[in-house]
Amino acid sequence: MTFRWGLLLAVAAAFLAGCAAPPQAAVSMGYRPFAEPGLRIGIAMSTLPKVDTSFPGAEWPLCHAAAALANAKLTAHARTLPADDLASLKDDIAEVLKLKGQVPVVIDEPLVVDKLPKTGHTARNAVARDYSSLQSKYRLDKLLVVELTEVGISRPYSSYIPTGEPKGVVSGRFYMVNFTDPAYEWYLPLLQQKSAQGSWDEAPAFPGLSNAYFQAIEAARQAILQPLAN
Amino acid sequence: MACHHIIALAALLAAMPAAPAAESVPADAVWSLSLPAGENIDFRGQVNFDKAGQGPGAMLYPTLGLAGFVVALAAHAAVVKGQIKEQRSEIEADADRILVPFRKTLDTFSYGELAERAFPAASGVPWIGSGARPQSGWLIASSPVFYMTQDQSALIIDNTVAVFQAGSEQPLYTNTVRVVSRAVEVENEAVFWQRNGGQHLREVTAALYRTSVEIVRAHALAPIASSAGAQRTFRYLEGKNEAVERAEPISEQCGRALIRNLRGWLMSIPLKRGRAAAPECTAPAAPPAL
Repeated sequence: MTFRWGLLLAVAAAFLAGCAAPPQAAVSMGYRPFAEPGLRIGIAMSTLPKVDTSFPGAEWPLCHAAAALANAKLTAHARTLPADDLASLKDDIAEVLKLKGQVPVVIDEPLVVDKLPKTGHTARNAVARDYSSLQSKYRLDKLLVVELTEVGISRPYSSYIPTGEPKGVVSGRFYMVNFTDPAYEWYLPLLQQKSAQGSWDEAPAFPGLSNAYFQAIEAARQAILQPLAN
Repeated sequence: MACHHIIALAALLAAMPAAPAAESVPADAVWSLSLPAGENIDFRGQVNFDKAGQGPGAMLYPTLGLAGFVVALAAHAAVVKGQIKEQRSEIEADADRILVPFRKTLDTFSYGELAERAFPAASGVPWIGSGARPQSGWLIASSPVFYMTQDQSALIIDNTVAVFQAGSEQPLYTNTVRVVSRAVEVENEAVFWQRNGGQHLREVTAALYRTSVEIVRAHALAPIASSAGAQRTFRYLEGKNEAVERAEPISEQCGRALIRNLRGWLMSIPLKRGRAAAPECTAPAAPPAL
Protein backbone atom coordinates (compact mmCIF):
# COMPACT_ATOMS: atom_id res chain seq x y z
CA MET A 1 0.00 0.00 0.00
CA THR A 2 2.77 2.39 0.99
CA PHE A 3 4.58 1.53 -2.22
CA ARG A 4 1.49 2.40 -4.28
CA TRP A 5 1.15 5.76 -2.56
CA GLY A 6 4.81 6.43 -3.17
CA LEU A 7 4.45 5.58 -6.83
CA LEU A 8 1.38 7.77 -7.13
CA LEU A 9 3.19 10.68 -5.50
CA ALA A 10 6.19 10.23 -7.80
CA VAL A 11 3.96 10.27 -10.89
CA ALA A 12 2.09 13.33 -9.60
CA ALA A 13 5.36 15.11 -8.90
CA ALA A 14 6.55 14.35 -12.42
CA PHE A 15 3.35 15.80 -13.91
CA LEU A 16 3.42 18.86 -11.68
CA ALA A 17 7.06 19.53 -12.54
CA GLY A 18 5.91 19.92 -16.11
CA CYS A 19 3.63 22.74 -14.97
CA ALA A 20 6.53 24.84 -13.67
CA ALA A 21 6.84 28.29 -15.21
CA PRO A 22 8.79 28.23 -18.45
CA PRO A 23 12.15 29.97 -18.33
CA GLN A 24 12.22 33.60 -19.39
CA ALA A 25 13.17 33.86 -23.06
CA ALA A 26 15.79 36.31 -24.27
CA VAL A 27 14.65 39.90 -24.72
CA SER A 28 16.67 42.06 -27.09
CA MET A 29 18.13 45.22 -25.67
CA GLY A 30 15.69 48.11 -26.06
CA TYR A 31 16.37 50.82 -28.61
CA ARG A 32 19.20 53.05 -27.35
CA PRO A 33 18.57 52.47 -23.64
CA PHE A 34 21.43 54.79 -22.71
CA ALA A 35 20.62 57.60 -25.13
CA GLU A 36 19.66 59.93 -22.30
CA PRO A 37 22.83 60.90 -20.42
CA GLY A 38 23.14 61.02 -16.65
CA LEU A 39 20.79 58.18 -15.77
CA ARG A 40 21.48 56.55 -12.43
CA ILE A 41 21.92 52.89 -13.27
CA GLY A 42 22.29 50.35 -10.49
CA ILE A 43 24.49 47.32 -11.00
CA ALA A 44 23.68 44.37 -8.77
CA MET A 45 24.93 40.83 -8.71
CA SER A 46 23.80 37.72 -6.93
CA THR A 47 26.26 35.82 -4.76
CA LEU A 48 28.83 34.20 -7.01
CA PRO A 49 28.28 30.44 -6.95
CA LYS A 50 31.12 28.31 -5.67
CA VAL A 51 33.39 27.10 -8.46
CA ASP A 52 32.64 23.39 -8.73
CA THR A 53 31.93 20.49 -11.03
CA SER A 54 28.50 19.35 -12.15
CA PHE A 55 27.32 16.15 -13.79
CA PRO A 56 23.97 16.77 -15.50
CA GLY A 57 22.29 13.50 -16.38
CA ALA A 58 23.65 11.77 -13.28
CA GLU A 59 21.06 13.10 -10.86
CA TRP A 60 20.02 9.81 -9.25
CA PRO A 61 21.99 9.34 -6.03
CA LEU A 62 23.91 6.23 -7.12
CA CYS A 63 24.70 7.69 -10.55
CA HIS A 64 25.80 10.94 -8.96
CA ALA A 65 27.98 9.14 -6.46
CA ALA A 66 29.63 7.16 -9.27
CA ALA A 67 30.21 10.31 -11.34
CA ALA A 68 31.57 12.20 -8.32
CA LEU A 69 33.96 9.36 -7.57
CA ALA A 70 35.12 9.03 -11.17
CA ASN A 71 35.80 12.78 -11.33
CA ALA A 72 37.12 13.31 -7.82
CA LYS A 73 40.49 14.72 -8.96
CA LEU A 74 38.78 17.06 -11.39
CA THR A 75 36.42 18.30 -8.69
CA ALA A 76 39.30 18.87 -6.28
CA HIS A 77 41.08 20.93 -8.92
CA ALA A 78 37.98 22.84 -10.02
CA ARG A 79 37.45 24.05 -6.47
CA THR A 80 40.86 25.74 -6.56
CA LEU A 81 40.14 27.79 -9.69
CA PRO A 82 39.73 31.52 -9.15
CA ALA A 83 36.71 33.45 -10.40
CA ASP A 84 38.18 36.93 -9.91
CA ASP A 85 37.22 38.06 -13.39
CA LEU A 86 33.57 37.42 -12.58
CA ALA A 87 33.83 39.05 -9.17
CA SER A 88 35.04 42.25 -10.86
CA LEU A 89 32.26 42.23 -13.45
CA LYS A 90 30.16 44.88 -11.68
CA ASP A 91 33.06 47.33 -11.76
CA ASP A 92 33.74 46.54 -15.42
CA ILE A 93 30.09 47.22 -16.27
CA ALA A 94 30.32 50.49 -14.34
CA GLU A 95 33.33 51.53 -16.43
CA VAL A 96 31.44 50.88 -19.65
CA LEU A 97 28.43 52.86 -18.42
CA LYS A 98 30.62 55.78 -17.41
CA LEU A 99 31.99 55.90 -20.96
CA LYS A 100 28.40 56.16 -22.16
CA GLY A 101 27.77 59.19 -19.98
CA GLN A 102 25.69 57.39 -17.37
CA VAL A 103 25.99 57.41 -13.59
CA PRO A 104 26.67 53.82 -12.53
CA VAL A 105 25.77 52.87 -8.98
CA VAL A 106 27.55 49.70 -7.96
CA ILE A 107 25.47 47.88 -5.34
CA ASP A 108 27.96 46.23 -3.04
CA GLU A 109 25.75 43.79 -1.21
CA PRO A 110 24.95 40.53 -3.01
CA LEU A 111 21.45 40.44 -4.40
CA VAL A 112 19.22 37.62 -3.17
CA VAL A 113 16.60 37.66 -5.89
CA ASP A 114 14.48 34.89 -4.35
CA LYS A 115 13.91 37.03 -1.26
CA LEU A 116 12.50 39.94 -3.27
CA PRO A 117 8.70 40.08 -3.53
CA LYS A 118 7.15 38.78 -6.72
CA THR A 119 5.53 41.35 -8.98
CA GLY A 120 2.68 39.06 -9.96
CA HIS A 121 2.81 40.37 -13.52
CA THR A 122 1.79 37.69 -15.99
CA ALA A 123 2.40 39.60 -19.21
CA ARG A 124 5.03 38.33 -21.60
CA ASN A 125 8.56 39.43 -20.62
CA ALA A 126 7.25 41.01 -17.41
CA VAL A 127 9.83 41.49 -14.65
CA ALA A 128 9.34 38.64 -12.19
CA ARG A 129 10.55 40.34 -9.00
CA ASP A 130 9.96 43.73 -7.45
CA TYR A 131 13.18 45.73 -7.34
CA SER A 132 11.57 48.95 -6.12
CA SER A 133 13.35 48.65 -2.74
CA LEU A 134 16.66 49.05 -4.56
CA GLN A 135 15.24 51.85 -6.67
CA SER A 136 14.29 53.90 -3.65
CA LYS A 137 17.41 53.06 -1.65
CA TYR A 138 19.82 54.03 -4.40
CA ARG A 139 17.61 56.49 -6.36
CA LEU A 140 17.88 54.48 -9.55
CA ASP A 141 16.46 55.02 -13.00
CA LYS A 142 17.38 51.56 -14.20
CA LEU A 143 18.90 48.43 -12.76
CA LEU A 144 21.27 45.89 -14.29
CA VAL A 145 21.31 42.48 -12.61
CA VAL A 146 23.88 39.72 -13.06
CA GLU A 147 22.65 36.37 -11.73
CA LEU A 148 25.12 33.54 -12.17
CA THR A 149 23.89 30.07 -11.33
CA GLU A 150 26.83 27.86 -12.30
CA VAL A 151 30.56 28.49 -12.57
CA GLY A 152 33.02 25.67 -13.01
CA ILE A 153 33.34 22.51 -15.02
CA SER A 154 30.45 20.44 -16.29
CA ARG A 155 30.45 16.93 -17.70
CA PRO A 156 27.25 15.46 -19.18
CA TYR A 157 26.17 11.97 -18.17
CA SER A 158 23.58 9.47 -19.18
CA SER A 159 23.04 7.74 -15.84
CA TYR A 160 26.45 6.15 -15.11
CA ILE A 161 28.16 6.86 -18.42
CA PRO A 162 29.73 10.21 -19.44
CA THR A 163 28.33 11.31 -22.80
CA GLY A 164 30.90 14.00 -23.45
CA GLU A 165 34.13 15.48 -22.25
CA PRO A 166 34.08 18.01 -19.41
CA LYS A 167 33.85 21.65 -20.36
CA GLY A 168 34.37 24.97 -18.66
CA VAL A 169 30.94 26.43 -17.96
CA VAL A 170 29.39 29.69 -16.85
CA SER A 171 25.62 29.99 -16.82
CA GLY A 172 23.05 32.38 -15.47
CA ARG A 173 21.24 35.45 -16.70
CA PHE A 174 21.73 39.16 -17.09
CA TYR A 175 18.91 41.63 -17.35
CA MET A 176 17.97 45.27 -17.27
CA VAL A 177 14.99 46.63 -15.39
CA ASN A 178 13.55 49.98 -16.35
CA PHE A 179 11.48 51.18 -13.43
CA THR A 180 9.04 52.96 -15.74
CA ASP A 181 8.17 49.74 -17.57
CA PRO A 182 6.95 46.42 -16.14
CA ALA A 183 8.77 44.43 -18.85
CA TYR A 184 12.47 43.61 -18.99
CA GLU A 185 14.30 46.17 -21.09
CA TRP A 186 16.89 43.51 -21.83
CA TYR A 187 17.13 39.86 -20.80
CA LEU A 188 20.09 37.72 -21.73
CA PRO A 189 20.24 34.05 -20.73
CA LEU A 190 23.91 33.14 -20.29
CA LEU A 191 25.37 29.77 -21.11
CA GLN A 192 29.01 29.56 -22.09
CA GLN A 193 30.60 26.15 -22.49
CA LYS A 194 34.18 25.78 -23.67
CA SER A 195 36.04 22.58 -24.36
CA ALA A 196 39.71 21.94 -23.72
CA GLN A 197 41.98 22.11 -26.71
CA GLY A 198 43.59 18.72 -27.09
CA SER A 199 43.42 16.31 -24.21
CA TRP A 200 41.41 17.34 -21.15
CA ASP A 201 42.50 14.53 -18.83
CA GLU A 202 45.70 16.04 -17.48
CA ALA A 203 45.49 15.52 -13.73
CA PRO A 204 46.31 17.00 -11.33
CA ALA A 205 46.47 20.52 -12.81
CA PHE A 206 44.16 19.96 -15.82
CA PRO A 207 45.74 22.87 -17.73
CA GLY A 208 43.69 22.44 -20.92
CA LEU A 209 40.42 22.26 -19.04
CA SER A 210 41.43 25.08 -16.71
CA ASN A 211 42.06 27.21 -19.79
CA ALA A 212 38.61 26.26 -21.09
CA TYR A 213 37.16 27.39 -17.76
CA PHE A 214 38.82 30.80 -18.11
CA GLN A 215 37.61 30.98 -21.71
CA ALA A 216 34.04 30.38 -20.53
CA ILE A 217 34.40 33.16 -17.95
CA GLU A 218 35.73 35.58 -20.53
CA ALA A 219 33.01 34.63 -23.01
CA ALA A 220 30.34 35.30 -20.36
CA ARG A 221 31.92 38.65 -19.50
CA GLN A 222 32.07 39.69 -23.13
CA ALA A 223 28.48 38.55 -23.75
CA ILE A 224 27.49 41.26 -21.26
CA LEU A 225 30.11 43.92 -21.79
CA GLN A 226 30.20 44.08 -25.59
CA PRO A 227 26.49 44.85 -26.17
CA LEU A 228 26.69 47.44 -23.40
CA ALA A 229 29.68 49.09 -25.02
CA ASN A 230 28.15 49.19 -28.52
CA MET B 1 45.53 43.61 -57.24
CA ALA B 2 48.87 41.82 -57.24
CA CYS B 3 50.38 44.87 -55.58
CA HIS B 4 47.79 44.63 -52.82
CA HIS B 5 48.69 41.02 -52.29
CA ILE B 6 52.37 41.77 -52.05
CA ILE B 7 51.68 44.55 -49.57
CA ALA B 8 49.44 42.24 -47.55
CA LEU B 9 52.07 39.54 -47.52
CA ALA B 10 54.81 42.01 -46.61
CA ALA B 11 52.70 43.31 -43.76
CA LEU B 12 51.95 39.80 -42.60
CA LEU B 13 55.58 38.74 -42.68
CA ALA B 14 56.65 41.95 -40.98
CA ALA B 15 54.18 41.23 -38.23
CA MET B 16 55.59 37.77 -37.72
CA PRO B 17 57.65 37.76 -34.61
CA ALA B 18 61.20 36.65 -34.40
CA ALA B 19 62.85 36.11 -31.11
CA PRO B 20 65.69 38.44 -30.21
CA ALA B 21 69.17 37.08 -30.57
CA ALA B 22 69.66 34.15 -28.26
CA GLU B 23 71.94 35.82 -25.77
CA SER B 24 72.17 32.84 -23.49
CA VAL B 25 73.43 30.54 -26.22
CA PRO B 26 77.19 30.42 -26.62
CA ALA B 27 78.36 32.54 -29.52
CA ASP B 28 79.85 29.55 -31.24
CA ALA B 29 76.74 27.41 -30.79
CA VAL B 30 75.86 25.46 -33.89
CA TRP B 31 72.24 24.58 -34.38
CA SER B 32 70.72 21.99 -36.62
CA LEU B 33 67.18 20.89 -37.25
CA SER B 34 65.37 17.65 -37.77
CA LEU B 35 61.81 17.22 -38.93
CA PRO B 36 59.45 14.22 -38.99
CA ALA B 37 60.16 11.38 -41.37
CA GLY B 38 56.93 11.85 -43.36
CA GLU B 39 56.86 13.33 -46.82
CA ASN B 40 54.52 16.30 -46.55
CA ILE B 41 53.85 18.76 -43.80
CA ASP B 42 50.94 18.16 -41.42
CA PHE B 43 48.31 20.78 -42.21
CA ARG B 44 44.81 20.83 -40.73
CA GLY B 45 41.79 23.03 -40.44
CA GLN B 46 41.50 24.67 -37.03
CA VAL B 47 39.05 22.66 -35.00
CA ASN B 48 36.72 23.58 -32.17
CA PHE B 49 35.06 21.02 -29.92
CA ASP B 50 32.88 23.42 -27.93
CA LYS B 51 29.74 21.81 -29.35
CA ALA B 52 31.07 18.25 -29.14
CA GLY B 53 29.51 15.61 -26.92
CA GLN B 54 25.95 14.59 -26.33
CA GLY B 55 23.69 16.28 -23.88
CA PRO B 56 22.80 14.77 -20.54
CA GLY B 57 20.33 11.92 -20.66
CA ALA B 58 18.91 9.07 -18.67
CA MET B 59 19.33 5.37 -19.26
CA LEU B 60 17.25 2.59 -17.76
CA TYR B 61 19.19 -0.62 -17.43
CA PRO B 62 17.47 -4.02 -17.51
CA THR B 63 17.36 -5.66 -14.11
CA LEU B 64 18.77 -9.08 -14.91
CA GLY B 65 20.80 -9.36 -11.75
CA LEU B 66 24.19 -7.87 -11.07
CA ALA B 67 25.83 -9.59 -14.02
CA GLY B 68 23.15 -8.33 -16.37
CA PHE B 69 23.54 -4.84 -15.01
CA VAL B 70 27.31 -4.89 -15.53
CA VAL B 71 26.92 -6.16 -19.09
CA ALA B 72 24.31 -3.48 -19.84
CA LEU B 73 26.57 -0.83 -18.35
CA ALA B 74 29.54 -1.98 -20.43
CA ALA B 75 27.43 -2.06 -23.59
CA HIS B 76 26.12 1.44 -22.89
CA ALA B 77 29.66 2.73 -22.29
CA ALA B 78 30.92 1.14 -25.51
CA VAL B 79 28.10 2.64 -27.57
CA VAL B 80 28.56 6.12 -26.11
CA LYS B 81 32.35 5.96 -26.53
CA GLY B 82 31.93 4.97 -30.18
CA GLN B 83 29.47 7.80 -30.77
CA ILE B 84 31.79 10.37 -29.16
CA LYS B 85 34.74 9.15 -31.23
CA GLU B 86 32.70 9.26 -34.41
CA GLN B 87 31.46 12.75 -33.62
CA ARG B 88 35.01 14.01 -33.02
CA SER B 89 36.13 12.53 -36.33
CA GLU B 90 33.24 14.26 -38.08
CA ILE B 91 34.10 17.60 -36.47
CA GLU B 92 37.73 17.23 -37.55
CA ALA B 93 36.74 16.25 -41.08
CA ASP B 94 34.42 19.26 -41.26
CA ALA B 95 37.23 21.52 -40.04
CA ASP B 96 39.55 20.19 -42.74
CA ARG B 97 37.10 21.11 -45.51
CA ILE B 98 38.46 24.65 -45.60
CA LEU B 99 41.73 23.21 -46.92
CA VAL B 100 40.13 21.85 -50.09
CA PRO B 101 41.19 24.85 -52.22
CA PHE B 102 44.78 24.39 -51.08
CA ARG B 103 45.03 20.62 -51.41
CA LYS B 104 47.20 20.81 -54.53
CA THR B 105 49.71 23.05 -52.75
CA LEU B 106 49.70 21.07 -49.53
CA ASP B 107 50.14 17.76 -51.33
CA THR B 108 53.43 19.05 -52.73
CA PHE B 109 54.66 20.90 -49.65
CA SER B 110 57.34 18.68 -48.17
CA TYR B 111 59.26 18.99 -44.91
CA GLY B 112 62.36 19.52 -47.02
CA GLU B 113 60.84 22.55 -48.71
CA LEU B 114 59.67 23.86 -45.34
CA ALA B 115 63.19 23.61 -43.92
CA GLU B 116 64.78 25.19 -46.98
CA ARG B 117 62.35 28.10 -47.04
CA ALA B 118 62.59 28.72 -43.29
CA PHE B 119 66.33 28.24 -42.97
CA PRO B 120 68.09 28.67 -46.30
CA ALA B 121 71.73 27.56 -46.53
CA ALA B 122 72.99 31.02 -45.57
CA SER B 123 71.18 30.85 -42.22
CA GLY B 124 73.69 28.35 -40.88
CA VAL B 125 70.96 26.12 -39.46
CA PRO B 126 71.18 22.91 -41.49
CA TRP B 127 68.35 20.45 -41.78
CA ILE B 128 69.46 16.92 -41.06
CA GLY B 129 67.42 13.80 -41.61
CA SER B 130 64.87 12.53 -39.19
CA GLY B 131 66.45 10.67 -36.29
CA ALA B 132 69.99 11.79 -37.20
CA ARG B 133 72.26 13.36 -34.59
CA PRO B 134 74.72 16.17 -35.29
CA GLN B 135 78.44 15.81 -34.52
CA SER B 136 78.48 19.03 -32.52
CA GLY B 137 76.28 21.81 -31.24
CA TRP B 138 72.57 21.59 -30.60
CA LEU B 139 69.79 19.78 -32.37
CA ILE B 140 66.19 20.93 -32.43
CA ALA B 141 64.04 17.92 -33.22
CA SER B 142 60.74 19.41 -34.19
CA SER B 143 57.29 18.09 -35.13
CA PRO B 144 55.29 21.01 -36.49
CA VAL B 145 51.55 20.87 -37.11
CA PHE B 146 50.01 23.73 -39.05
CA TYR B 147 46.43 24.93 -38.91
CA MET B 148 44.39 27.35 -40.95
CA THR B 149 41.69 29.29 -39.13
CA GLN B 150 38.15 28.56 -40.28
CA ASP B 151 37.86 32.02 -41.83
CA GLN B 152 40.99 31.18 -43.88
CA SER B 153 42.61 34.44 -42.85
CA ALA B 154 45.42 33.21 -40.59
CA LEU B 155 47.75 30.31 -40.00
CA ILE B 156 48.86 28.71 -36.75
CA ILE B 157 51.74 26.42 -35.95
CA ASP B 158 52.03 24.08 -32.98
CA ASN B 159 55.68 23.08 -33.04
CA THR B 160 56.56 20.38 -30.54
CA VAL B 161 60.30 20.40 -30.02
CA ALA B 162 63.02 18.59 -28.17
CA VAL B 163 66.49 20.13 -27.90
CA PHE B 164 69.46 17.79 -27.70
CA GLN B 165 73.13 18.51 -27.15
CA ALA B 166 75.36 16.61 -29.57
CA GLY B 167 76.19 13.19 -28.23
CA SER B 168 73.27 13.08 -25.83
CA GLU B 169 70.11 11.10 -26.19
CA GLN B 170 68.43 12.96 -23.35
CA PRO B 171 66.66 16.15 -24.40
CA LEU B 172 67.71 19.25 -22.51
CA TYR B 173 64.45 20.96 -23.26
CA THR B 174 61.05 19.91 -24.56
CA ASN B 175 58.08 22.09 -25.19
CA THR B 176 55.45 23.14 -27.69
CA VAL B 177 55.61 26.56 -29.30
CA ARG B 178 52.49 28.02 -30.87
CA VAL B 179 52.71 30.97 -33.22
CA VAL B 180 49.56 32.60 -34.60
CA SER B 181 49.90 34.79 -37.67
CA ARG B 182 47.99 38.03 -37.96
CA ALA B 183 44.96 37.77 -40.25
CA VAL B 184 45.50 38.78 -43.85
CA GLU B 185 43.30 41.62 -44.96
CA VAL B 186 42.44 40.76 -48.51
CA GLU B 187 39.25 40.45 -50.55
CA ASN B 188 39.50 36.71 -51.02
CA GLU B 189 41.66 34.73 -48.64
CA ALA B 190 41.62 31.51 -50.67
CA VAL B 191 42.82 33.32 -53.78
CA PHE B 192 45.47 35.12 -51.76
CA TRP B 193 47.00 31.96 -50.32
CA GLN B 194 46.75 29.96 -53.51
CA ARG B 195 48.12 32.51 -55.99
CA ASN B 196 51.30 31.53 -57.86
CA GLY B 197 51.17 27.91 -56.90
CA GLY B 198 50.45 28.65 -53.27
CA GLN B 199 53.43 30.96 -52.91
CA HIS B 200 51.91 32.95 -50.05
CA LEU B 201 50.80 29.85 -48.23
CA ARG B 202 54.29 28.37 -48.47
CA GLU B 203 56.02 31.59 -47.40
CA VAL B 204 53.86 32.30 -44.37
CA THR B 205 53.98 28.64 -43.31
CA ALA B 206 57.78 28.75 -43.47
CA ALA B 207 57.83 32.08 -41.62
CA LEU B 208 55.72 30.60 -38.84
CA TYR B 209 58.04 27.65 -38.58
CA ARG B 210 61.12 29.86 -38.53
CA THR B 211 59.60 32.01 -35.82
CA SER B 212 58.75 29.03 -33.66
CA VAL B 213 62.30 27.71 -33.96
CA GLU B 214 63.75 31.13 -33.13
CA ILE B 215 61.61 31.22 -30.00
CA VAL B 216 62.97 27.80 -29.03
CA ARG B 217 66.55 28.97 -29.64
CA ALA B 218 65.99 31.99 -27.45
CA HIS B 219 64.27 30.22 -24.59
CA ALA B 220 65.49 26.63 -24.56
CA LEU B 221 68.75 27.27 -22.83
CA ALA B 222 67.58 30.09 -20.61
CA PRO B 223 64.04 29.21 -19.61
CA ILE B 224 62.35 31.97 -17.71
CA ALA B 225 61.06 30.90 -14.32
CA SER B 226 57.32 30.73 -14.28
CA SER B 227 55.27 32.66 -11.80
CA ALA B 228 51.77 31.35 -11.24
CA GLY B 229 50.65 34.61 -9.66
CA ALA B 230 51.34 36.49 -12.86
CA GLN B 231 48.75 34.59 -14.86
CA ARG B 232 46.00 36.55 -16.51
CA THR B 233 43.50 36.11 -19.29
CA PHE B 234 44.78 37.24 -22.68
CA ARG B 235 42.46 38.16 -25.51
CA TYR B 236 44.03 37.95 -28.93
CA LEU B 237 43.17 37.33 -32.55
CA GLU B 238 42.93 33.98 -34.25
CA GLY B 239 42.12 35.03 -37.77
CA LYS B 240 39.43 37.67 -37.51
CA ASN B 241 37.94 36.20 -34.35
CA GLU B 242 38.88 36.83 -30.79
CA ALA B 243 40.51 34.01 -28.85
CA VAL B 244 41.26 33.69 -25.15
CA GLU B 245 44.17 32.08 -23.35
CA ARG B 246 45.02 32.04 -19.66
CA ALA B 247 48.74 32.60 -19.50
CA GLU B 248 51.68 34.33 -17.98
CA PRO B 249 53.12 37.25 -19.96
CA ILE B 250 56.74 37.04 -21.06
CA SER B 251 57.13 39.96 -23.45
CA GLU B 252 55.08 42.26 -25.65
CA GLN B 253 56.21 44.16 -28.69
CA CYS B 254 54.88 45.42 -32.01
CA GLY B 255 51.34 44.30 -31.37
CA ARG B 256 52.32 40.78 -30.41
CA ALA B 257 52.75 39.08 -27.06
CA LEU B 258 54.84 36.13 -26.07
CA ILE B 259 53.11 34.24 -23.30
CA ARG B 260 53.40 30.96 -21.44
CA ASN B 261 50.07 29.16 -21.19
CA LEU B 262 48.87 26.82 -18.45
CA ARG B 263 50.45 23.84 -20.19
CA GLY B 264 53.79 25.68 -20.22
CA TRP B 265 53.65 26.17 -23.99
CA LEU B 266 55.18 29.32 -25.37
CA MET B 267 52.71 31.23 -27.53
CA SER B 268 53.35 34.17 -29.82
CA ILE B 269 49.99 35.81 -30.43
CA PRO B 270 48.76 38.90 -32.29
CA LEU B 271 47.03 41.38 -30.03
CA LYS B 272 44.22 43.64 -31.15
CA ARG B 273 45.58 46.78 -32.79
CA GLY B 274 45.08 49.42 -30.13
CA ARG B 275 47.38 52.26 -31.02
CA ALA B 276 49.62 53.18 -33.92
CA ALA B 277 52.57 50.87 -34.29
CA ALA B 278 56.01 52.14 -33.32
CA PRO B 279 58.24 53.03 -36.27
CA GLU B 280 60.54 50.08 -35.67
CA CYS B 281 57.57 47.76 -36.01
CA THR B 282 56.48 49.07 -39.39
CA ALA B 283 59.86 49.65 -41.06
CA PRO B 284 60.14 46.84 -43.64
CA ALA B 285 63.89 46.59 -43.22
CA ALA B 286 63.73 46.18 -39.49
CA PRO B 287 63.82 42.66 -38.12
CA PRO B 288 60.39 41.68 -36.92
CA ALA B 289 60.44 41.54 -33.17
CA LEU B 290 58.31 40.02 -30.46
